[in-house]
Amino acid sequence: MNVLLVSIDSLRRDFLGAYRDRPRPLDYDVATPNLDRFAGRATVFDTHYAGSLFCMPTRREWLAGVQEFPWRGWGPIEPFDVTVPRAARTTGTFTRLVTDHYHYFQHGAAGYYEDYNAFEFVRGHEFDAWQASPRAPDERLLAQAAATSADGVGFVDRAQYARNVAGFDEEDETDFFAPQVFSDAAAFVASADWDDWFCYVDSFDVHQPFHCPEPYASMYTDEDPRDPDLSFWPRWGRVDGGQGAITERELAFARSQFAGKVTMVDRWFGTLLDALDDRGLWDETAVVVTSDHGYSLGDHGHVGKVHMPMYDVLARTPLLVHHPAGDGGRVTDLTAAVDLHPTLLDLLDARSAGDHPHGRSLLPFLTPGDGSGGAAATGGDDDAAPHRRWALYGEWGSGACVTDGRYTYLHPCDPAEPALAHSTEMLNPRGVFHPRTPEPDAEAGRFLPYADAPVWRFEGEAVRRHPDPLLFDVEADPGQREDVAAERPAVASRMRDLLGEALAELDAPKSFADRLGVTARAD
Amino acid sequence: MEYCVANVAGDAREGVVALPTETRAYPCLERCGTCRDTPFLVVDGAVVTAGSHRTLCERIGGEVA
Repeated sequence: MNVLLVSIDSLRRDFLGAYRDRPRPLDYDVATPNLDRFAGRATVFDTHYAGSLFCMPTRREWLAGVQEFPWRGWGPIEPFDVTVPRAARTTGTFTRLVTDHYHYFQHGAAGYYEDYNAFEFVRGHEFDAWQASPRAPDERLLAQAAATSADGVGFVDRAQYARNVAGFDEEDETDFFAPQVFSDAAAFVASADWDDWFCYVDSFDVHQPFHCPEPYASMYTDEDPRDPDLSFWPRWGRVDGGQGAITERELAFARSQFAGKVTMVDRWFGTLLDALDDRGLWDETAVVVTSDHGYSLGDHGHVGKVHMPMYDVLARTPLLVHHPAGDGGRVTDLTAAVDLHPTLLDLLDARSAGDHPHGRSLLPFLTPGDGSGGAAATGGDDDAAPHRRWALYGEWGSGACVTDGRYTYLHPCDPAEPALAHSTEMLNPRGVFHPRTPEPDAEAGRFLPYADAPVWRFEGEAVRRHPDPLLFDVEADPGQREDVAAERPAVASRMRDLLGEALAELDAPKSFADRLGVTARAD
Repeated sequence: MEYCVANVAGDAREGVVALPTETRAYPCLERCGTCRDTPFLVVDGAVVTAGSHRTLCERIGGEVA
């Protein structure tokens, strides 16, 4: 069987017709006809949560099956990881990657593309170190990118984006990133001459900058989308002050450009569906569509993602899966991003080549006719046992969050206690995009319960996103408008215990649990 | 006032959080070029740099006072 994995970075679940009629922060509809068309032939997972955040940590969950954030943050594939493409190749499956996700090729990452038989990298998105000229990009582009200067040579410079797209025609969408990525993927699907293949289409869109070509730039706004006073790249932070301060006009514009990107991605995702239709591949191809996380567009008073509490706008992600033997429908069971790993291995018949204990395969939900059902998913004898009792999510060096599918519990950390990073590399626990620096105080040891190898262990700065635990009843309050931690102390206590159980089942470091003030198993 | 924990770490953080103004810690402020090169804070949305965090705190503490 072929397997097509599509991830659309930063795609909010509420922007898809499969989940919600209208995006939560908008007073207009956003067109996603192709993703909706796909949902019509897919199994839609209603209660799917991210795990390790953001961006690359999610990809390690998907590709290597490691729920890494209790142990480390953004970093490379480790020597003891077996990625999905590596495992797939042991069964004779041809593997290919197409992406514009430049983080793969940046400081802080390694191992995410090397295991494929072939890969295509579309250059130029966000801070990709691509173009060397023009030295002074168009002033209007610089202004809309909120770039402070075009004279610097430092890392992570917004002027680089303006330099990268200086030659793009904003009236020709084929110059832009998602059209290039999906066109390439569609061409592969249309011509692939392998008995079985695994293709991962990793679209960096709809990630910022929200710079759209026409018609998408004007599709959801009456503003002039090329007005230099309107940024397509808002700074993240609180909307009411600080670097994230933003007027209503500016926020409305940013939302319209995000929406435009969603419709653009949808349009070109449609070319993939067309390729599958034209070659009649649906009966021999599993297709997985998901996102790594969302993005706050003023939700809860924030723009962005990395600094704020892990609300569902960030962590509750879309997952739609077509299986040739499946009959679609909706799954309400709690599922997690790391579950994609064993699921992909099962689809590729490569489970024995690269299994990892953190994920739980979703295959029984996709093929209900084979009798394997819920019991096989949980490994227990109880046919009514849920797929998961908990899903754990968060970012390394901060607090931790847990959900049981009805409640989400966001637990802060003590920022005075350093966080511990564990890796075979002296990765930067902070400043991940900078060149690495040595950790002179690192100690070596067999600190990982899931790897028979020594790793370095060293300290990094912790960050507290919110001062107190937050509890939300997402069934009654899907927008998470009301924190009920004080109103329902018994539930908060139960969820805190569930967090401890989750950490214990993962065999997470005692140091992590201690920093959270939660009881779990000892090191 | 906002600061990046990669830039303001250890003893420097003690001085920053002791300033008589609201401070917020970020895992990243997306000012990575500046962050790597010099001590900085973001004050009312604007990047402020100095030769040391101590100088930054003295400057901002004086302005706040």
